Amino acid sequence: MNQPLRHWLRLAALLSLLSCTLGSGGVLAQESAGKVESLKESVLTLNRDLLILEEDLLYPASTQVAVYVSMDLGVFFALDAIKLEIDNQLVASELYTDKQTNALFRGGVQRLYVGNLKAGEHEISAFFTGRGPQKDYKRGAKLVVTKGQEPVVLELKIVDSSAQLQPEFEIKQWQM
Amino acid sequence: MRCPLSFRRKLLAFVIAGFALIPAVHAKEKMKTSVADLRYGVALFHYYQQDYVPALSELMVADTRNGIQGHSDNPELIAGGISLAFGMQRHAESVFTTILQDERRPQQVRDAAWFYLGKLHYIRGDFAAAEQSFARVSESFTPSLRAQMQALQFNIRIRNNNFADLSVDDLEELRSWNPYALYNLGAAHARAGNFKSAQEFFTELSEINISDNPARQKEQWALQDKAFTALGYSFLAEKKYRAAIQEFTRVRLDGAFSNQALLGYGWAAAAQEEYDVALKPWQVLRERSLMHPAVQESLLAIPYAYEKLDAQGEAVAAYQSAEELLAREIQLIRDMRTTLTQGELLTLVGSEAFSAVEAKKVLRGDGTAEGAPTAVITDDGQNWLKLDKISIIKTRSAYLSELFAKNTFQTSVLDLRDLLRMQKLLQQWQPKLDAYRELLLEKQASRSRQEQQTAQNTLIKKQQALSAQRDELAARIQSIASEENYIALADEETRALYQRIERGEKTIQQMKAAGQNTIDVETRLNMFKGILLWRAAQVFPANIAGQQAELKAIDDALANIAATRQRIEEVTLTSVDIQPTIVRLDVLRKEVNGNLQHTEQLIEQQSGVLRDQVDTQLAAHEKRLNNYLAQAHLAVARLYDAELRKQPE
Repeated sequence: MNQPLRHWLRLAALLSLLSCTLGSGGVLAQESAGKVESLKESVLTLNRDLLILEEDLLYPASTQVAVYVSMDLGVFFALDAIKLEIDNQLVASELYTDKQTNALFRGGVQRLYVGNLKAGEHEISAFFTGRGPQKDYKRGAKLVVTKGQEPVVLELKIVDSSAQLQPEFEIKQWQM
Repeated sequence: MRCPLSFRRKLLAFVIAGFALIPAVHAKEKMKTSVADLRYGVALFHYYQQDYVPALSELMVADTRNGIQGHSDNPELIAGGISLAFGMQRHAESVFTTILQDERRPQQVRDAAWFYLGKLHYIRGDFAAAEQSFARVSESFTPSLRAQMQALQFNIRIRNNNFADLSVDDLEELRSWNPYALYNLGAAHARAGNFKSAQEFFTELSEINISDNPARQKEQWALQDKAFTALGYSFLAEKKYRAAIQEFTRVRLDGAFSNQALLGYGWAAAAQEEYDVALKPWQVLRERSLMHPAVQESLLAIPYAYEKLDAQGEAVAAYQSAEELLAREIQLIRDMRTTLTQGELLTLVGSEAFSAVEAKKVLRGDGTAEGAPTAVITDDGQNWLKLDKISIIKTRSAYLSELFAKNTFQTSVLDLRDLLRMQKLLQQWQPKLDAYRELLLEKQASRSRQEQQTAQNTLIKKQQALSAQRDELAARIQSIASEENYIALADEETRALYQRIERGEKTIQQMKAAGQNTIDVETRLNMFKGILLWRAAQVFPANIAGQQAELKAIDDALANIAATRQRIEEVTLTSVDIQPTIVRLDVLRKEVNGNLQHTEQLIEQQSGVLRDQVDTQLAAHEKRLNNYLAQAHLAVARLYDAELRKQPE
């Protein structure tokens, strides 16, 4: 190994160590990014239209029932599972991942179930299991709703019980 | 060698931190879970799981319906933020620009919008526009975000070569961004050849207090290692070899910069002709994976030191060993170039993502085990904002790690990953739309069957009644016409008189039977009868025509019923409300197919770009190794030649 090579290697190492490009990308990369973004916009708009069509088709307002899940807790609660029954029939169940529980804890709301109901009275029951800081919990709640021409929208809220300092269910019916 | 803690990294971490603030901005006003509009909460639920397509779709559907109520400017800000995370810069820019056009928006919202807009310009490399946007952010902007913004502004000054007057003290307000700024300014001075200034910044960085947070601690240690290495090389450039060695020895032996530090240590010793000292770090290096450029260099550096120590035998052996190792390594690279095809890379990017911990486990080892992947895709929230924070694609191969760490490569991978997601989304819609179409057709058929049945029943009854009426009338007309029964169609008075005459005729018959004389009465009766028949015969043609007109009216009514049935049939078949939905669905189906085709074209292009980048990188490594191999060959030949020359002829 001769001296000039050694010098070159040293210089190359120093420069590579110190080189920090702010890299805004080449023209081609920007062109490609533009194409991809245009496609994303197009697909998202199409997806929106498809979702609207799907809802209009499968769950018209006159028969629609939608159930959401939210958390309003001071202390993190590891939600394991939720079961939802309408008129004693299981219509939805969910096993929660850490990601989902965390998203709920941070204020996200999950659309648990969307379906159809005939006009009249119906009993909605929900049950959850999970692990709190101290122990495991299993809770349930019921609500009788009257289905009319408007959609029935329910929120299953996992909240702190002020009396027992434990998580519990509340079912809130939203007026649409 | 890349700069993992580069400006880009800082920028992206900056963006994440800034964006994470959006939901928190209003957190003080309400409990975080008090969602006034469930759809906003659903968008957040998806966003927090990095599911950007459903998050954006939720907001878009809500916007099309009647907008999100009760969350002030948050939905717009979050839409802009998610768009950024999903690599939709143009869309994000339009969202923030719209917010800024409304001067009634609260200052905090305007500040956030200017801040994001500035970052957008920065990402695109429009630094002048970025500076202008940052300049619009008010003094009251959240201090932690202001600190990040200032860090970016320093980067712009470095970019514009306007950093000479910046001192260590100027960086104090940068909070957690201070170490990165120290490194960046040190590197900028070193690149400019101002080693003294560079050393000031690097020294300051080497003395920072290390955080107690394990993740942050790891990052800061790596940053300090990088500073020590850079300091060492800057002293080396100034021929201050002792100082260089001192800095190189401060680098952790298990850190990412130890290879370069060991190599530099050897050079610093060799420069002082302390070849036996130089051999020590190089021999440590020599035992490491040959994929690292510093290790490859040590293959030639070691025999060079032996030569200088007059150990020609050891030098020849080391060069020959280097030849063997380099030849094997070149073959490995060639194998990799053959294996990592466009299809292989596409499969890799589209495969199930690993968590960072799982990825580490999968990539552990030298990759010689059967089925061991060269690289894996990770899923710890990688998005366009975290481009430099966490690699979306990780590799075990040092040959590719440099390429994989580059912004352009990560961008290509993210583009491809997003395209594959779009493809999957569109592919999922295809069978669903087919099913919905079937459903609509079935619904239409069912409805038309019912409607047709009802209409048919009514019309059939009406038709039957009219047909009976028509048949009766036709028979009567036929009978009257054939019998020339004038009286049947005569007026009421004529028919009544004719009945009286018929009764008179019966009476005359009875009188005749009783032997009475009826001639006179009979004569008068016949006369009256003749008069009546004559009168009826006069109007008979008109009356029969009237009957036939009535018959025609019934025929017309029957024809009308038939036409009505036909129309109803047509109407039920085209179902006025279902048909537009089918038309709407068909339009969307066509769009899905068109978009899918376009997506597949872009996937083909993008995976080709990726393959080219990987191959170019591997080709460069192959070329460098070939260069080392050639040098090793020459050195062996040179040493043999020198040995031969020493021998007496």
